[in-house]
Amino acid sequence: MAKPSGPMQEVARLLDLVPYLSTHSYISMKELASEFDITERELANELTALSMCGLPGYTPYELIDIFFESGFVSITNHDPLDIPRALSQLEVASLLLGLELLRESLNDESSSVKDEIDTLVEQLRTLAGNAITAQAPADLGHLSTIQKAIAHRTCLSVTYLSTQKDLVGERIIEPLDVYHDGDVSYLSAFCRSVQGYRNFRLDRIQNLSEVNEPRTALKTEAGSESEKIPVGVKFHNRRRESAELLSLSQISAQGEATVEVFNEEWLVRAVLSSSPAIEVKAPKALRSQIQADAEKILALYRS
Amino acid sequence: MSQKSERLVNLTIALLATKRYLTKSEIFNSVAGYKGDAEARDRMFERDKDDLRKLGITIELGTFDPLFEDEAGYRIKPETYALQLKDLTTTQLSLLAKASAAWKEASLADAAHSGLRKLKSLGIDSDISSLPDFSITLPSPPEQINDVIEAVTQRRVITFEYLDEEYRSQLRKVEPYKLSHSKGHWYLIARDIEKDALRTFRVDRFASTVDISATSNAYQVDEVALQIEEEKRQREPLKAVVAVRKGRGNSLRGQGAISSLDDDWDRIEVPYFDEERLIKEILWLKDDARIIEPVEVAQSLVMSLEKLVALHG
Repeated sequence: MAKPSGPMQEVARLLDLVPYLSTHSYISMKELASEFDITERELANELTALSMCGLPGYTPYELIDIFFESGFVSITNHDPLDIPRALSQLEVASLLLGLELLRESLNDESSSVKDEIDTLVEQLRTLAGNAITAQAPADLGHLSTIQKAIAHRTCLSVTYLSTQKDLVGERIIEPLDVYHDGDVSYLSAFCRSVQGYRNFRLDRIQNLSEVNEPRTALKTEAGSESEKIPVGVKFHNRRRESAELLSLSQISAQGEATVEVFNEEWLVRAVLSSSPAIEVKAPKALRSQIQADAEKILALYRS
Repeated sequence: MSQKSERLVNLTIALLATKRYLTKSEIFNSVAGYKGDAEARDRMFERDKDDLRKLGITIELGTFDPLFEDEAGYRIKPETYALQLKDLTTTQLSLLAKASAAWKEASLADAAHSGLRKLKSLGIDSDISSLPDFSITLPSPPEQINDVIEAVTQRRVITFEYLDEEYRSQLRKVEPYKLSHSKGHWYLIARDIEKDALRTFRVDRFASTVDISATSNAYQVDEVALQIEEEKRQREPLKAVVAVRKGRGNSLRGQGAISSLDDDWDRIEVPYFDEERLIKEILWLKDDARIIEPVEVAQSLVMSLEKLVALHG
């Protein structure tokens, strides 16, 4: 269902304006225009059009009466249209998923709110004919603490598992933003321990608490100061998976591509773990390192 | 403002207000905007009905009196037109407002916002300050999601290109059964018509736009098959035994029971669902982890690595 375009969108708006106005008498033109995402001029045109509509007969007794010259809008004589329209499936789906995400981000203290959410979710699912279900993105357990620290502009103490180095460490970070990439959610932050901007995967944060110290870092493009290393790769099988792993949107018919990575160690682990789907063509040193690391693992199984 | 918009609004008002079915000629004589000869008005009316249907408004066809062969007429039943959720509390409306705001700039933001606007028209106050302090954002779904939602809720057959495991696109024609969102991805369970079997598709792997067939309610959902397909993703985990160097393999620690093997190695019981994913997880740890059991999984790990060595030799 492409977004109903042009005239259809206009009709939808006209139909939705009536019930909205009947419960929001004397709302300002400005506020109403912003609620409906149009300019005040467009709104004035649509209100004028609406005042030409009504019950058959179309005498002043049947037409919808709208007054907005004062800058505030009121409506009378709007009976048959005075019902908010049914939610579309897309509207149901978007609210459903939003609610699931809210639910996940709540901490345990808010059980009464969770009950309210469950009731709503149940109703919305029924509306979607039970054909749509939603689960919030994973690993939102820490989200409310993170959001609080971002809002308070304070720091966080985190215990983080770095899978590149296979190390668990504690550090003080200044949280800036949470974002999602595919199925992974990240926290971008300034890390005081390394004095640099880093991205932390939410699912690798093992422990987290707010530290009452003011944030000093500014929001910048995280990771921008690191150099990218170009690496030539060839995909031998399971191409879709490898392309997704290396965030490639295009590969040649022969399955070759160049990827830019921030960190060689990450690439080595990624290649080993996708074994034997990805071959590293260049640089040579990286190629031999993979060879050597693979031999080391094999040695474990031969002893 | 087009005349067409006004005509559609007037038609909606007339069909909503009427307590009985209105015949076509009654509509043409009374609703403003139907002009031209009989044929032109007929065409206009058919298009208008289609357009209203696209907005989710159902026009019902019926007769005044089933005992007489009357001319069929039209009306919109207020109960199908009206918002389905009515008795919302202030807290519930505030929660829906929060849920809608979660989309921010993402592609479902418009739908979330227009949905919320309809709910606000009920005249319930929302009081966001009564809720705990939290705010969230949702990632933008794939652009095909609108079409998939429409197809799955109206039971329409869809056709699209899908990327297979080797990154080749294949044309698939399916009957959508159920759409679910899980861990950041949208999954569609559907019956592949050619293969005559249920498959799960990830919507971000669609390699084309979606072609939706015009017929709604085109098939019945095979509930039994659907349940089997859904349960595939909810089975009990299997158990592997893995040797992990002491102080290393931190992603495995905490997943299962740990005991000491010798001075250098620990033994960890790791739950897993899928052999391939287990192998990936263990290889990620390089020479800090070795699969002890199941032996067959260890063997296929060795085979893959030997191939990798050969590639790089």
